Amino acid sequence: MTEPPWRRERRAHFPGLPAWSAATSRLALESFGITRQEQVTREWAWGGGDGAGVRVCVLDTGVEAGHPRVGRLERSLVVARDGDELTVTDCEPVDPAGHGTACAGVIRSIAPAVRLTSVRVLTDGRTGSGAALLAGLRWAVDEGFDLINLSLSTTRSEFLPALHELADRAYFRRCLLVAAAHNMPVLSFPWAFSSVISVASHDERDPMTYYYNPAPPAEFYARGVRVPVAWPGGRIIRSSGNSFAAPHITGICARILGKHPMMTPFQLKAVLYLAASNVVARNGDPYVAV
Amino acid sequence: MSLYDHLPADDGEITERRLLQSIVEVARHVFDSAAASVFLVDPDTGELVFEAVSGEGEGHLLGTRFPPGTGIAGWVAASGQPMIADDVGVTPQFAHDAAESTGYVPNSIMAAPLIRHERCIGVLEVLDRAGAAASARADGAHEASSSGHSNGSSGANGTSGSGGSGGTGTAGSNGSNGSGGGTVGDGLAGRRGELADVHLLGLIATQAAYGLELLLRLRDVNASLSPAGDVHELLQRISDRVHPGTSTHPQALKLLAVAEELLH
Repeated sequence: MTEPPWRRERRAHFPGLPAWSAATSRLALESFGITRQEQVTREWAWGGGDGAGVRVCVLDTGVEAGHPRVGRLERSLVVARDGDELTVTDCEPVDPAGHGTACAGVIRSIAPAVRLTSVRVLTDGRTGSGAALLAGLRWAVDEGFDLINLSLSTTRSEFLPALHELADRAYFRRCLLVAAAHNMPVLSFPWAFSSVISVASHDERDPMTYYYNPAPPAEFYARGVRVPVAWPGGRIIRSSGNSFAAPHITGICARILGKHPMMTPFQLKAVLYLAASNVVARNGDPYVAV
Repeated sequence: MSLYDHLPADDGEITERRLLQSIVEVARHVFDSAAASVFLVDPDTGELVFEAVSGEGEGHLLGTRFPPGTGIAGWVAASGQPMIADDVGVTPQFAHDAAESTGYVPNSIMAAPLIRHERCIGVLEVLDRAGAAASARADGAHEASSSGHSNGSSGANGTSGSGGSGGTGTAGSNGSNGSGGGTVGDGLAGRRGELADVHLLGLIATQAAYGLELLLRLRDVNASLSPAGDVHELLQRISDRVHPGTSTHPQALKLLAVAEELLH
């Protein structure tokens, strides 16, 4: 199978040449699959979808495979230090802290058929794990996942330029980052970038209820309070925090992408907006299924 | 027993310690919780070290260390994100582990990172806040009722309205406007709700971060004043503290210049 245009290697371009332009009067643009969005309703967006075929990467503390709420993992990897280098290597599907397992379980509960991979980037509990986050994220973007769940952020501004570039690169490769907004008065990223989908919490119980926030950078509110989540050892606990809101939106995105695989990240964000509980209701859309 | 009996009277860190202690006292009382504590993240090992404890364990936990990256405090330290975990004590394994390490088995844990100069230097943790039990009862009532999910549109308008006025749109500011439309109020009258709890915890964590930073600064100074100290170690510490791009106090610069002359 040939690579679609958005996953193709970029050619080297030179400044001064019309390198990014296209002579459309002479040459037809190549054809590509598209998803139209004439009448976006919640039913149209994800009704009947289960996320089948969608590849999701959970960048977190690791995921315990086989937990009843998580099921099977496609792969399990860890960012490890090899001398001065950080490498991404396969590892046992374990989760010493429990957080990644919780996030994976939320995604699975909304989109049961997704293909889940775990990359453990929070390894030694030490500050400065921004480097591991960057290494793991770079690997996941290159690997071509459709969605990457980031229920974490870094406060270290030294990683800002590299993360920014990586988030943009992901966006153009149709790899959408879904990131938990930081709910403390500190600066952190990548959740605040416009190329990602940022998620904070609402305090209702319905996992499919989510709202658009007209005052970003936190763009959506999803369920994030007393969420029943998977915990290592086959347990279930109740957790609150934006960390658990983000995987709800990841799961919803997986269902949308499962039904409409040709959607671009900007379409996906637009569909999320159009189907948000406070946007559809206000339009009086007859197809609203809350 | 007075509040500070376990602090040694001749401790050179007395003011800084009392500041930190007063912060965990406030946290414990605001949340009406069984315990509140501040951990330091050891910059060398990543271990979590109890630096201040109010309530359960305050007599014996100071200085106790936990391995890096484990448990809820470990995750909070590594990720920089606050969180609440409820109903954690229901399994025997967790109860056993917790009792082994601290002598107390909580049912709910709330934790937030202490961030200074872009780094997580510690964690504020609150065990068994009073509201957690009320929320658990409300969950039970909700799950027993036949209504299932919240009714969409009325809750929708209520919550989105308060969220919009939150300005930065963080979860905390949303929650501080009240616990939203009529969908989650059952049995929780007078309760702040989890979003407001997290918001409040974040505010106290900001204070605790300043308190912990003051304590760490004092330790740095004390360590560098130690007569047995190695001059190379001292210079390395000074160099580590002077971040590129930040302005250095003019007096400090003069002192360093004098020190350089004397060292010739």
